[in-house]
Amino acid sequence: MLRLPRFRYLRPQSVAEAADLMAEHGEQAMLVAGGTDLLPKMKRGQMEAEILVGLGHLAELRQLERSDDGGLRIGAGVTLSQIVHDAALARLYPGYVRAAALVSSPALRNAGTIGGNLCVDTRCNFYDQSYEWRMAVGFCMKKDGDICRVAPASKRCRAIASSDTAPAAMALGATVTLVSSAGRREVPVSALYEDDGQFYLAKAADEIIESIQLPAATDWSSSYVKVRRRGSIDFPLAGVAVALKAAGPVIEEGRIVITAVASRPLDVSEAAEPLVGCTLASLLEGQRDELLTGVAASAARPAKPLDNADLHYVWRKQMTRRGVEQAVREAATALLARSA
Amino acid sequence: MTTVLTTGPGLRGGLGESVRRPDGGPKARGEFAFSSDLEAEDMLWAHLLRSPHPSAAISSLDLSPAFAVPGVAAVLAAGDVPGRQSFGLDYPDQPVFAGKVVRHVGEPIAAVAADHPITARRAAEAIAVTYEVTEPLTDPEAAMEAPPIHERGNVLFHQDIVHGDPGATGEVSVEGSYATAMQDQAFLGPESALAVPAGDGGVDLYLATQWLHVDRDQIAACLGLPLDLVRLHLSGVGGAFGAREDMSMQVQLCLLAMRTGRPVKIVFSREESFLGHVHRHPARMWYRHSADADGNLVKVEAKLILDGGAYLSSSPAVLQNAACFAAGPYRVPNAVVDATAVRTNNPPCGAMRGFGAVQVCFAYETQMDKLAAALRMDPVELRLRNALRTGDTMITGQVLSGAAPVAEVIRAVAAAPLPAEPGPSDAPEIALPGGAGRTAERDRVRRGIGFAVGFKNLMYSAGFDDFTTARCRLEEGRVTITSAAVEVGQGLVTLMQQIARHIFGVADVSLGEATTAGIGSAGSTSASRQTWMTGGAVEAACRAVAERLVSSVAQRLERPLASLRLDGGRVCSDDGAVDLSLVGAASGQVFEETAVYRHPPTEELDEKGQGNAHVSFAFGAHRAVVDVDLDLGLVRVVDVTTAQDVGRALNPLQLIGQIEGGTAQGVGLAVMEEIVLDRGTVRNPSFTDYIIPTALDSPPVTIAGLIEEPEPGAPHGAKGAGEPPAISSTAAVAAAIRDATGLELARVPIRPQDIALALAAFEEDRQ
Ligand SMILES: Cc1cc2nc3c(=O)[nH]c(=O)nc-3n(C[C@H](O)[C@H](O)[C@H](O)COP(=O)(O)OP(=O)(O)OC[C@H]3O[C@@H](n4cnc5c(N)ncnc54)[C@H](O)[C@@H]3O)c2cc1C
Ligand code: SF4
Repeated sequence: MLRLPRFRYLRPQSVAEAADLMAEHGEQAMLVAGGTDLLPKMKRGQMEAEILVGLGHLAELRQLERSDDGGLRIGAGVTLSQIVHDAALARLYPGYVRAAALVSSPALRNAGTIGGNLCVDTRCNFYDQSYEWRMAVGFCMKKDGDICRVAPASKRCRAIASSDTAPAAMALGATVTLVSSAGRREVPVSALYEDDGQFYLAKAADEIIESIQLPAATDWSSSYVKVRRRGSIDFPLAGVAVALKAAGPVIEEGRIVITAVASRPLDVSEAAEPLVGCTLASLLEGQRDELLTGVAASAARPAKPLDNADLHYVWRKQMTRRGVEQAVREAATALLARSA
Repeated sequence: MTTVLTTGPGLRGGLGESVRRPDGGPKARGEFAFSSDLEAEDMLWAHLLRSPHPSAAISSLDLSPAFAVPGVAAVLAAGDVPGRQSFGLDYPDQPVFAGKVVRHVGEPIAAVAADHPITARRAAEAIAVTYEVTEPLTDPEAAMEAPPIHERGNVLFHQDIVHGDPGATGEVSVEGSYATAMQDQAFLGPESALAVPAGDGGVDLYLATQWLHVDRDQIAACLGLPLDLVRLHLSGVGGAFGAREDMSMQVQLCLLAMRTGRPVKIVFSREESFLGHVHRHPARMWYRHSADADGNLVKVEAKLILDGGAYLSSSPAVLQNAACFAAGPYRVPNAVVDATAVRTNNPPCGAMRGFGAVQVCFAYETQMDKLAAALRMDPVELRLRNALRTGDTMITGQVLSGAAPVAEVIRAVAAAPLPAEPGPSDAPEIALPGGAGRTAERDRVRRGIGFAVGFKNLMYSAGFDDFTTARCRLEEGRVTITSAAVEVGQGLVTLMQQIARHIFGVADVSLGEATTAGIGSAGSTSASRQTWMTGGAVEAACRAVAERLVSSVAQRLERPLASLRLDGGRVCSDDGAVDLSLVGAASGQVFEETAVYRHPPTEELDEKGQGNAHVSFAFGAHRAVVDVDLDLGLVRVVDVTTAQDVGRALNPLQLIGQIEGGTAQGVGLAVMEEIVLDRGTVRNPSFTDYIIPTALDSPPVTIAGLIEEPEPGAPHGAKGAGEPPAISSTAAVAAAIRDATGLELARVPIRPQDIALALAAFEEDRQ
C-alpha cells in the first residue's frame, strides 16, 4: 500500500498570503490545488515537499470574468469540470473546452484545476513508477539519478509534455498572470514551458498562476484532438490544438500546437501558413487535401517522440499528422457553419 | 428463455430467480468491508523486501539496518522459516524467502513488521543485500535448452497428445504461428490480510483467497504447525480470477505475527500486486489444420509453449488444459499436440479465468478462419460441420457423454441481428474508435465481424480428488448454511441461499462464517466449480436435514414416512391430516447435517494424452463487431454477442453478470491488456500503464442464447459459468479486426501500431 509521506499543509487566506508563504519556505514548499497530479506523485516519491501550500479553497482563484477586450479571465482554481459544463465557454473556445473535457476521468476533473493542469508534470514511463521500481531499474536524471534511461546519450531529460489544456490555450494565444511576493506579471502561456523534461516550467517555483486570460475569439474557432487508446483516463499519446481565423469564407490566420511529442507543447504555427487564403469550403470539400497533408507533415516534423510512453513512437508521430488534419478540418467546419 | 424452477407458493428468492446479491448494495455504496479494511488493536504493519532483479545470486544479506529503524518489531528472512522452506500448489518449489538466489523480479527476500506502513517500508529499504546479477533467462523457447535456473529444471511440464493416425493427411491444410501476451487478473482489491497470533501457539489469518483449506495446508507446513493451529477465516474478497489461488504473503505474515506476538496486517500496493501474484501464461503456438475438400477436419497438429515464469504454481494443469482443448470444440479424428510449460526468470504464471483454454482458442479459431478461407467456405458453416456433439470422441479419446450444444451456441450467435452501422446522428465521441478522444474520421473507419467458439472443462480433472463440504442447520424454523467455499464476487452466497430456500420453502436462510475452523474443505473457487460442487453439497446437506425432520415427525405422530413430505415450508401428509410449519415439525429439536459432495472420478492422461480426464465441459460462442480506424489503428468494439451452454440458469441475473464480465476480460486481452516485460522487468505495473477496458471501451454484451440443456449428473443440471464466457471473446474480437483490416494479426493484444504501422508506409516516417 502506498501512503502519503508526512508533510505540513498550509492554508493561506489569499493569493498574496500564499505567495508570501512560498517565499518564506522556499524549496521545501510546493503549491497544491486539486492535488490530482501532485499527491499520487508524492506517494511514489517522485515529488518531495515538506510543506504544501493549498490553493484549492481560495475563492479569488475561482472567478470567471469578461475582460475589457472581450476576452475572458479564468481563475486558476476553476476546476476542469466547471470549464466543461460552461456552455458559453464551449461556444467561444471549443478547443479549450474540449481539451479540458478530455482530461482523465469525471472524478479527477471535479478536483483538478486549470492552473494545476497547466503545470502538470511531464511524463515518462521510466519515471512514472514507484520509488521501488525506479530504484530497481535504476534512477534517472529527472529524479534521484543522473542519466536518462530512454536516451542515455541525452544531456537533458526527455519526459513528455502531457497537459491537454496547455496546447489548446497556446493555440488561442492565451496568457497567464503570475503572482509572487516579488510582484505580478503576465506572460503568454507558451512562455511557461522549457524544452526540458526535468525543468519543464519556465516560471519561478514560487510564482502562482492566478488566472489564465483567453483573448477575444471573434472570427476564430478552435479544436483539440487527442490520441489515446481508451475512451477515458489516459494521458495524451499525441495531442493537436488548432485555432483558425476567418471572418468570411477565407482563412486568414491559423495556429497549430502539438503536444505529447516533446518536453513542451510545440507551437508549429508556421506550418499553418499555406492555409491562409484557402477557402473553408475548398478545404472541407476535399479539393485541398494535398495542401492539408503538407501542412500536417510539416506541423508534425518537429515531433520527436521517444520510446517512453504507451505504444510505438513511430505510431505516435504518425498520429500527430493525422491529428493535425483532423483538428484543422474540425475548426474549419465550425467556422463554415458560423459563416453560413 | 430461462425457466423458473419453483420454490413454493409465494416464496421469493428460490432457484431460477434473479435473486439480488446481499453484498451488491454495500459494494456499490462503498460500505463492504474488504480484507484491506481489516483492523485489530495494537496491530503492526508488514512490508516485504522484494528482489529488484529477475536473476541474481544473493551474496550477502544484512538485516541489522532494518532492526535499527525505530518502530520496527521484527525482521525475518530465509532461515526464520521453522517448517518447509517453500510452497506451491502442485509442488513446493517456491521459497517463502529467497535464500541464495532470486529468480524473478519481486521475489520476497525479507519481511518487516513495524508500527506504521511507512516505517515498515523504510526499514525494508534499509536492509543491505548484495546481489551478483546474472543474465536473466526470459525467452521461453530458449529455456528448454538453457542451463537450468532451478534444481527441478526448466521444463515445468510436458504433455503430448497423440490421437488417431498421426500420419493422416487432408486435402487442404493451413498453418500459422500465434502468440498471446501475459495478462493480469486486474482485480480491484490488492492482496491484503491480517494475522493474529493465538494463545494456543497457533495463528488466525483473516484474508482474501480462493481456497481456505489449501492455503491453510501450505501455511501450516511452512510454519511447522499442526493443521488445527492454523485457522483461516475469509475476509471480503475484491476479485480473484485465479490470482488468489497461490500464496502471496500468507506465510510471511503469519511468521511475523507469531514472532512479534501481535496482530500484523499487510496490504500490497498495486505494483506489488502485479509482482506478487501469478498471471495468465503468455503462449507461443504453432498450428497446422488439415481437412478434406468438404471441410471435415482430418487432423490438427499443434506445438504449444507456455511461459510459466520462475515457479511451478499450477502450470502443469494449465498446460494440460491447453493441450486437451487445443483442437477446439470440434470433431478431430487425428491429432498431434506437443505442449510444454517452461521455467524462465519472468514473473510466475498460473491460474487465470479460462486456465489455458483462452490462449489455444485464439490460435485454433484463427486457424478455423484460415481454413474456411482456404476452402472458400463460410466460417460459420465450417464450424457447424465440425462441431462436437454428445457421443463424439475428443482428442483425448474421451467420449463426450454430457450436454454438448456446440451447434446450438454457434447457431444462436450467427442468427442474432447485427448492430446498426453508425449513422451521422450518433455522437462521434462515443460512436467512433478513440472514444471520447474523437480521433477517428468516419470515412477511414472500417467495420469488421468476427466469430469464435470455445470450450473448457468444469471442475478439477485428471484424477484429482475433488470434493466439497457443506453444513445445514435447522433451528426454530431458521436455516443456516455453513461452508468454507469462497465468495469472490461471483455470487455463491446468493446461490447457496437459493438452494436452501428451494428445499425448505422458507425465506430466512443465513450463512455461517467461511473458515477452516470447524468445517471441511469446499475446494477452490475456480475451475467454474462452486455452483456445481458447493451447490451439490449444500443440496445434499439440506436434503439430509429435511429427511430427518420428516422422519422425526413420522416417528412422533406414528405415521408411515412415505405419507409425509416437506412442501412449501410445511411438513404435510397426503391426506391433509398433518400440516405443520417447520417450527412445529421440529418440535424444539435442532437438526444439523454435514455433507461431502464429490463429482464422478476422473483419470489421469496416459503418455499419449489419452484418458477420461474430465467430468464435464461448457461451450460458448462469441460474435464481435468492431470499428477500426485504419489510419490510427484504434479499435472500438461495437458489440459482442454471445451464446453460452449453461445447463440451467439458476440465477439469470448473476449468470448474465458472469457472461458480461468474462466477455469484457477477453475483450481486454484482445485489444489492450498486456504485462509488458523487458528482460524480466514489468514495465507497466500500474493501472495507468496496464490498461483495462473502461466502461466506455466495454462493448454492450448481447446475449443471443442461454442454452439450457441440463447436464446429467449436475445438481439441477447447471453447468459452471465463471470461465466459459471468457474463452472465445478474445478470438472473436481479433477475428473481427482481421476482417476489418485484412491483416494477419497473429498476436494479442492487437495494438494500434500493429494495425496502423502495418497498413501505412512505416519506413517513410522512420527517416
Ligand atoms: C489517472 C490520471 C489521469 C490523468 N489524465 C490526465 C490527462 O489525460 N490529461 C491531463 O492533462 N492531465 C491528466 N491528469 C493530471 C491531472 O489530473 C490534471 O492535469 C489536473 O488538471 C491537475 O490539476 P490539479 O489542480 O489537481 O493539480 P495539482 O496536482 O494540485 O498540481 C499539479 C502541479 O501544478 C502546480 N500548481 C497547481 N496549481 C497551481 C497554480 N495556481 N499556480 C502554480 N502552480 C500550480 C502544483 O504545484 C503541481 O506542481 C491525470 C491524473 C491522473 C491521476
Ligand atoms: S526522459 Fe530520461 S531522464 Fe527523463 S524521466 Fe525519462 S528516463 Fe528519466
